[in-house]
Amino acid sequence: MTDATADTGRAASALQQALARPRILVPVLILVAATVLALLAPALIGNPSGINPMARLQAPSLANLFGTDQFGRSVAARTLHGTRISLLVGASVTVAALLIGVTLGLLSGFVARVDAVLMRIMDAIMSIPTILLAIALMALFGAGVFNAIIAIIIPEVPRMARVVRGVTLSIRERPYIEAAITNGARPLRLLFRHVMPMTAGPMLVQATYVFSAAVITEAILSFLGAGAPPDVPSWGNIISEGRTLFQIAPWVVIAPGVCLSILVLTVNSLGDAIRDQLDPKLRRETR
Amino acid sequence: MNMLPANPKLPLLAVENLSVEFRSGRQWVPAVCNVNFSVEPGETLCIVGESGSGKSVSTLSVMGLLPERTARRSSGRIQFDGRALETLSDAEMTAIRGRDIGMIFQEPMTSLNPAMRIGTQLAEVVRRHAGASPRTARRQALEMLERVRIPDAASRLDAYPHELSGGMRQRVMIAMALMSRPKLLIADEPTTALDVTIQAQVLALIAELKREFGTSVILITHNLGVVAEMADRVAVFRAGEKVEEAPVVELFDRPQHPYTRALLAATPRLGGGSWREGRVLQTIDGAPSPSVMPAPADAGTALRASGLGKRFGQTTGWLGRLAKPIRAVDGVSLELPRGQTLAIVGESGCGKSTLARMLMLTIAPSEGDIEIDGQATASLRGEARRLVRRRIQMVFQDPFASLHPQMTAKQIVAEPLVNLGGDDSRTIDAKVARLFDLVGLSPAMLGRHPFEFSGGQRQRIAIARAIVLNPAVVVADEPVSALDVSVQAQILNLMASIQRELGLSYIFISHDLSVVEYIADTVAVMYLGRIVERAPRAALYRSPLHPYTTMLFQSVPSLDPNARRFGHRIAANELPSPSNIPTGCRFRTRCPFATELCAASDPALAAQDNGHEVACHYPGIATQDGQARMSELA
Repeated sequence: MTDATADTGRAASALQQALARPRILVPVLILVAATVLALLAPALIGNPSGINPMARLQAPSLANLFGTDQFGRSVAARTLHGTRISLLVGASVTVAALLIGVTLGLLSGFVARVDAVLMRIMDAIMSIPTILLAIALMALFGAGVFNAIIAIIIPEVPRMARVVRGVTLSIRERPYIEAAITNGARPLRLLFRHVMPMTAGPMLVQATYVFSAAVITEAILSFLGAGAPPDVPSWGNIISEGRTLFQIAPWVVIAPGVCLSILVLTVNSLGDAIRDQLDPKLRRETR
Repeated sequence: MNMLPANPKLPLLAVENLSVEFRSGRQWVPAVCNVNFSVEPGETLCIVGESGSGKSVSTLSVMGLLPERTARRSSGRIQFDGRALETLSDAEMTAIRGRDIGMIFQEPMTSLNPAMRIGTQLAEVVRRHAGASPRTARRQALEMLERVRIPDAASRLDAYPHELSGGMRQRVMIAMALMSRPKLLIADEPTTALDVTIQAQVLALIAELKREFGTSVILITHNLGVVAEMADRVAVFRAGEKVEEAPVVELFDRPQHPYTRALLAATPRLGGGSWREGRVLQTIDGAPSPSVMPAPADAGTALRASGLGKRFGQTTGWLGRLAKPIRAVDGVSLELPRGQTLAIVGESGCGKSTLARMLMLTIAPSEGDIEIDGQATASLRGEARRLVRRRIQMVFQDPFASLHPQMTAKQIVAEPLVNLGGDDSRTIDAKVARLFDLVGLSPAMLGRHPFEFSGGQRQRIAIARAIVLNPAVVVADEPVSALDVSVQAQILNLMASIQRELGLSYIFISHDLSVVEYIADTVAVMYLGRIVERAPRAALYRSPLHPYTTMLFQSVPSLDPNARRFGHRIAANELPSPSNIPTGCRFRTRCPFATELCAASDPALAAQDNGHEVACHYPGIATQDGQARMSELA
């Protein structure tokens, strides 16, 4: 239908506009670069688990860009492979938290009876510290990347659900929603066609925070040995293994640490930039 | 009396060659171009114009109150009381603003500090500018509140702004602006957010205080009725320029500029009659040809409501609030003959919007039934209830807020068809295109989003959406009150022509009696949730029988500066809270003719001659006839 093309056309031009702003363009480029590197890691760089006892704890050099660890494995290879885990966890937690959180948020924003129950459950989950909850869940499920993802999704869902619920509550009081009701929109259409598109902005912003929180939580879990198993390199377990040697071989910790900081900072500043972009008042001021 | 000083010396304020620019992206675009105006001591200058005419921007610029990042004064000399304002520092301007120039804005809540008692806020003005002691300042604050006719002023000193009604807040604003006895009072749309009855009180108050203190007044408004009531001199603004300036009588009797003439012609005035009698409203682009068309008789009933009532706030269940229920609507019965228009008139808070929402089946009545196009709705549930919406649609007050911002005009108009029509997409496209044509929009606009349209165009889209299903009834809730005068005339003409062509029935909800006169066949006046008077349009406008209706009529500003109405009626009486409805006749607390009978017994809506119904123990008492009869009886 022509409507659909008009819609995608408009979305495309909005995207173009957004990308014209350095505050959005730069983080997006960094994320794209990180994703490409992570995807191509096996081709680009050697085996992260290749032990070479002859070349233990070597300082960064041309041969080993970020040096080697106590087993002579390349820190560069391990860090790059760790990027895969971080991005995988970040992306899957974000997608899952979006799907579940948005559904729950819309539902409790719309159905008063469900709202009271759902939100108390969300409050209960939020009242437990994220890390503690994730560790407890890992103890329950056993270590592993997939289980880590599940364990991180659960504490992140309420954050998304609360935001979506709040926006839904304010949107549904708008006259155009009342107009849609008088125009005979069925409840599902009302929800998905009229309310949900208006929650997209805040949802997107919240998604970036969920992403960075998930990356950090995964790193912490792996650091504590409750996340990725030792044979899967993740920034968390690389740092964990390197921490006892920090005095003599700081490079082992520095490479994954810096990557973690850059990724989280990038995603957070992307979230801030999107929020400012969506708020016309802020946009004018920061122009 | 509005006497100019016998010997006008220098003007108090003289603005020369004022230009203001707004920032749009990286460019500066002119918003006001080379405007000149001046105010003499003791004079009222009205600046009239529609939205975007630059009337507010000009005065804000004079006051140095434009937002710095987005607006700038590119040229202009401003002489106030012998000083050149454009050369003063920010600190000096602040001193002048507080002491010599007082300001009143449209929305008093934005200018009052919500966290401070009003007595303290008022006293602070005197303490800051006159250095008075706290005790003196408080005494002066009390005096000023009494001056602006705040009932029970002593106890209101300790009230917070949110505890006062809109009209009362505006009085407090006026009191605050006048605390320092300014030489100039600038009022920017001071009554636009108020009901007509309150508007009349506030305007009378401003006029009285002006006489008393000899203050000069700049009154910015879009309402020509307010101009006729208040102005000594009038400046007409359009698109950032002053197009005409003249003494008020001259402007109304012999307008020179075509725009002024068009504006005057587009303003509906009381006594002009209805479109059925061949009346058309002039618009800026001319007027449609008039045609006489009597209301269709015996065509059946499009909508009937019987004993409708709505109570709010009765939650007493588990963890619920125990609130006193508000009876927003109480025992309202209506009948709308097919092809006719029933207007519902009343102040804000009278329950007319609640009534509209019950008729639209968006809120469930606490009691009573609604019959839409012959179908009773009280027992309908689920899908059957949804399908009734084919027969009743709505036009909302704010066209921007009632259109989904992310949908195109075409999607918006097609929405009812998609939900309720059962047509294929080709038929939908054809119907939408035909409707676009009918409401006067170009097909090229189909793919645009609401923000790309003007206010009038948006309301046209909303009307197209309401009639696309060819419903029996369209409920229009204040459909023109958010629009400029010239656009308002276009929309009213459009609604009349649609009714003529399609034979639709309208429920037209409005607070504006002059608009209602043009569009309505029957008028029902609501007060505190009840209909207090109902009559055919002609009968009601000829001889209103309820004192409340008379009060509403008297509150409409006349469009004739030679026949000003707001002389001395400045008693501050307001709509009582619907949670605390007076015993007996609910209007008695504001009725000048109330007797013991009125306090004791509640009059029911009773039929008089010619289909006129009224709920009053003394019908017609507020008219001169009625008063003569009363004195005979006595």
